Amino acid sequence: MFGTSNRRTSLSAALTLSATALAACGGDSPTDVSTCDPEVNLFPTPVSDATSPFADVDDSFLQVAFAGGFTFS
Amino acid sequence: MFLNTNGGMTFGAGEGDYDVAAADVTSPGIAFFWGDLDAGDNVTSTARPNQMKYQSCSDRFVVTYNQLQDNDIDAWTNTATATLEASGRITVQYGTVLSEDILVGVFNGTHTNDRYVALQNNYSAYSTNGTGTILFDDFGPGPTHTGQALSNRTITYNP
Repeated sequence: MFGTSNRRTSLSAALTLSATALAACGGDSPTDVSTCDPEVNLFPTPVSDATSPFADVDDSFLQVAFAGGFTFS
Repeated sequence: MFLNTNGGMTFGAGEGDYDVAAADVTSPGIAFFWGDLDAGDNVTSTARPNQMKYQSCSDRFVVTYNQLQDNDIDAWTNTATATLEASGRITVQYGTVLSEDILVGVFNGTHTNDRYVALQNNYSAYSTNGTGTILFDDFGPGPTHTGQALSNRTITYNP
């Protein structure tokens, strides 16, 4: 058990969701229930500490959210 | 979850260290090509757009690396798209991967029973096979990523 997740999602629920959301974000299928936040560019040009949301461009990390949760188990 | 600038991701706590062995990372994590990467390493890389992006969707999280610069050798860059699904499945579609001194795999951070495995396209039940599935671990027991072995491969870690 890896046991870390933003929000635990049951396998059956996840598989059901995956089956109905195979199309890409913004797909026009009436069964496409997937929604996406805007893409975040972590290194806009020019790459610099000032333009990146990382605290530093080099050897840094950034907390990001996954609304759908991820069960690392 | 925490994305770092060296080609990896951790859960619960951020880890930004470079040139790590698997055992050095004490949080659950995924190493796509965790080495010593630096998007701002040189004049060329600071002008190269879109080296790292992410998108969070209701059913998946996608991180995209586009020629992410290696800090040690200017000619080394790394490209991949990694998709995490809520089920725990992880799919990594690699483009060209040139960095050699990297860590690749998934692990729970304890490293008491990591499995060092041969490169293949699918890994099943990674959580029940041990505390980690390690493909490359240059700063640990190995192996080193040579010959662009990851390039243009799609690797899936199934829970």
